[in-house]
Amino acid sequence: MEANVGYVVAGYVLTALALGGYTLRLHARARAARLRAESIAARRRGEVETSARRGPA
Amino acid sequence: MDVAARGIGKATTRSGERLLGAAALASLAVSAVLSLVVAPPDAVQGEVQRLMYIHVPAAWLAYLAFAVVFIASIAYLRTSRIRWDRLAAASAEIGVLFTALAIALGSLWGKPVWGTWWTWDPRLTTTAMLLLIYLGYLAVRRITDNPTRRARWAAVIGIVGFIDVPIVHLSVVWWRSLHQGSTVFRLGGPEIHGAMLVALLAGVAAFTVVYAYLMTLRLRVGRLEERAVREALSPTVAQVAEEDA
Repeated sequence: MEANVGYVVAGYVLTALALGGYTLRLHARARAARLRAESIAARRRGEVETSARRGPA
Repeated sequence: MDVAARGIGKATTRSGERLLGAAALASLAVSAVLSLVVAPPDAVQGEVQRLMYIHVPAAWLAYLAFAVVFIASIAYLRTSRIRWDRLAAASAEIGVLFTALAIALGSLWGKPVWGTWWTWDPRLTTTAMLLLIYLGYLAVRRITDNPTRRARWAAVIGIVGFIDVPIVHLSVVWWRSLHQGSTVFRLGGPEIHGAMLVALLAGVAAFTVVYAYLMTLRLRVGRLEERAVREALSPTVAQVAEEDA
């Protein structure tokens, strides 16, 4: 096997790691943002229900 | 421009995103087979020349990503619509990834061929500048929380920064460079073996699909992060009642 094959393997592995890693990071960011928005919205709904039960001040 | 924006909207649905993800994986697999199995080794450089099939597509996709930043930045300054800013930010982030990848792959290729990981060659230096410009673009976006100010500052950098893209591309023509000149886009047609050209074009096509997929994903992240900020900033029921009292 040619001595320089190691550079080729390193290049293809690096590309796979960079593209795959960035894709996974984007999925994680999307999930975190969605959970954050949903948790804030759920808290809001809870407040609305509580104030509705209390009735007008 | 509205037609383009609507088209982008349709492509960024969840089903469109999944379809693009599958297409990206399939095209990368085809490209890997063509570049590692079908294309012959280079007569002079041998096996290490196979790095060209990922190094060149990464560099071309960086150009494309920054061209999208340039166009979206102009569109934002003309229309003040935040979706253009969202598009520019997504493309800049992905462009930085491809630029860094092109530099790293070039370095891996340079060591066995030139005998060095890095040299202050015009092409390498202008590409490093390109990376710094768009890292600066992303850094500027973090300076202010005001979305309008952030979008305006970023748009100006997105337009001015694009000047470096033709400089990078033409650096091998304008100055004496260790880096090889154009192999495909040259007078008299491509100077490359047919199977190598097919593998190279397949690599460019695969990276373009990957770019499209990453864009849809990054645009969704942008929308979700903005929604989370909107939810957090909108007044609570208690705050509204307090203000009404």
